[in-house]
Amino acid sequence: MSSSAARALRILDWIARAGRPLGVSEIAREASLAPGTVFRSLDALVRADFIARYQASARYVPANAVERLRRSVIAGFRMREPVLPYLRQLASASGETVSLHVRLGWYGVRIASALGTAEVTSAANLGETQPLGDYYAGKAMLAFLSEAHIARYGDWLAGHGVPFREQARELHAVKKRGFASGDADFTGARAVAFPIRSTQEPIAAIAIEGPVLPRTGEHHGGFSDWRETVAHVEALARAQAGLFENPFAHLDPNSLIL
Amino acid sequence: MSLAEKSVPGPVRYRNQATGRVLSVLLAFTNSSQPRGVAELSRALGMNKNMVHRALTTLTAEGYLVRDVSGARYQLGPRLLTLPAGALHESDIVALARPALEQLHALTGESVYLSIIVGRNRVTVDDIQAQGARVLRSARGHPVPLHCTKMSRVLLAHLSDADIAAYLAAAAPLARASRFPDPPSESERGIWQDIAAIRAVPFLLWRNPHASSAAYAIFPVCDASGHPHAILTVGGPRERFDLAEIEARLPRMRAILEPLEREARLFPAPIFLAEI
Repeated sequence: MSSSAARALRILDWIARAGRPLGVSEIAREASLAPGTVFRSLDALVRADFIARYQASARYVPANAVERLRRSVIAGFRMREPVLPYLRQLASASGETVSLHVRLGWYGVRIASALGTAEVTSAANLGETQPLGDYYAGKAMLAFLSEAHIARYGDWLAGHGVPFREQARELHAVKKRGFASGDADFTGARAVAFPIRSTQEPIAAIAIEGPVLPRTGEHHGGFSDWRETVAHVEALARAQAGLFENPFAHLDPNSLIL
Repeated sequence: MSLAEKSVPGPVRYRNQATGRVLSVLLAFTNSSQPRGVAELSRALGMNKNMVHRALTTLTAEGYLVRDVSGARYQLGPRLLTLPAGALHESDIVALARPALEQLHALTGESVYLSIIVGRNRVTVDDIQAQGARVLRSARGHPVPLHCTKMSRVLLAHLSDADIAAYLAAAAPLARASRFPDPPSESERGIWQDIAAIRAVPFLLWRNPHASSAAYAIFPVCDASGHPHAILTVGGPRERFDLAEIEARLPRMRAILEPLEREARLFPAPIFLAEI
């Protein structure tokens, strides 16, 4: 194992998470490293296009290689390609942004999206991760897992000091209804999310979200058409199971902290 | 030499080879959704296996790579998704095509449609409807089988021969619904002939044989491999938008479409699956 490379990767992590350009002395102070040591790491990261100087200053921001690698992780979910046309059909029918989410341990991650055609639509950042119980698409997947899996999720949450009882009640309601709906985020946007199930368990969720969706998505005039399109995607998932495999399904969900 | 010059050393002096090797190994996973092994990476990067193994150990310990399901190979780790390098957005043909739709409608005053393949159908996903007593109408979101209507067939014609054959087998029998009266052939042979004719031209001008029907210009929008992202269709009633009127506007229509065609070549069209 290379300690200098490990150091460079941790510095990359700091720069990416900072949300603002970072300079050598700031990183050196945070990492308790000599500025010269930090500079050598930065130099290697710049050469490989992982970071770049911010507007020709002495501070650094993430660069193209990070984005290319993130895109490659998302491209590993091969289900994106066959599902994208259905997302576009739903986006066109609803006017709202439509996204495909998959499980990554106890998190959900957005791996594909089609922008809505309404005047105001929601942005959809690919690669965005959230704990399954924290958002509508995650709930649509979580609610349809086996009782044992849901209990493991509850234990995982408890291990992070988060109570699960309230969420468990909500998941029962989602399962009974067949989809999750409600407030999407702090902007007040509404959403409705449908699970995509293979023969056994949910492998993904399709979410329709946007500020102009009525509070209860199921009352939207096109709701039955949306469900029909989602049913087509489920049929596709069963017929093309290989394409819908999750490349991270073999990892222990408790080992993933995102 | 001034103090300022001393404090900004040249890049060569600070080159860190061990770190550079590890980053090169990580970059070798870019654009590859398949797991990779030590021997394969060693060959591809021109490094010895020990170097590659050490780099993989470092990258795995830091969470940038994980072992694949077999345990023998490596793949990019989900931790990379937590690096907020800026918003990643989808290359969306609907968003890309919208300006062209608006410009084509402004140029012609007629209805304009963007249609894509969804499953085994053509579906219109964006449109600008012309206004007036007699205009071309086509329902957004309504599925039309890929062998029915010229618009659908332009999408079908830009699939590979193998995909078309798979579609024709899956869609058999190819009876045409009465609501899609054009074009006349219903046999597999007739469809292949139509496909050959469509492929021979960069875009299709078409009018239905009925005297009171519409005329169309249908433009395929393809990726770098020639696979179809979508078609853009401009159409109107023949009494004011017949083929002669379309041809007169073609140079300007093609100029409007050129930026879209260029951008569409930069990302792959969705894969086609006939057997659902």
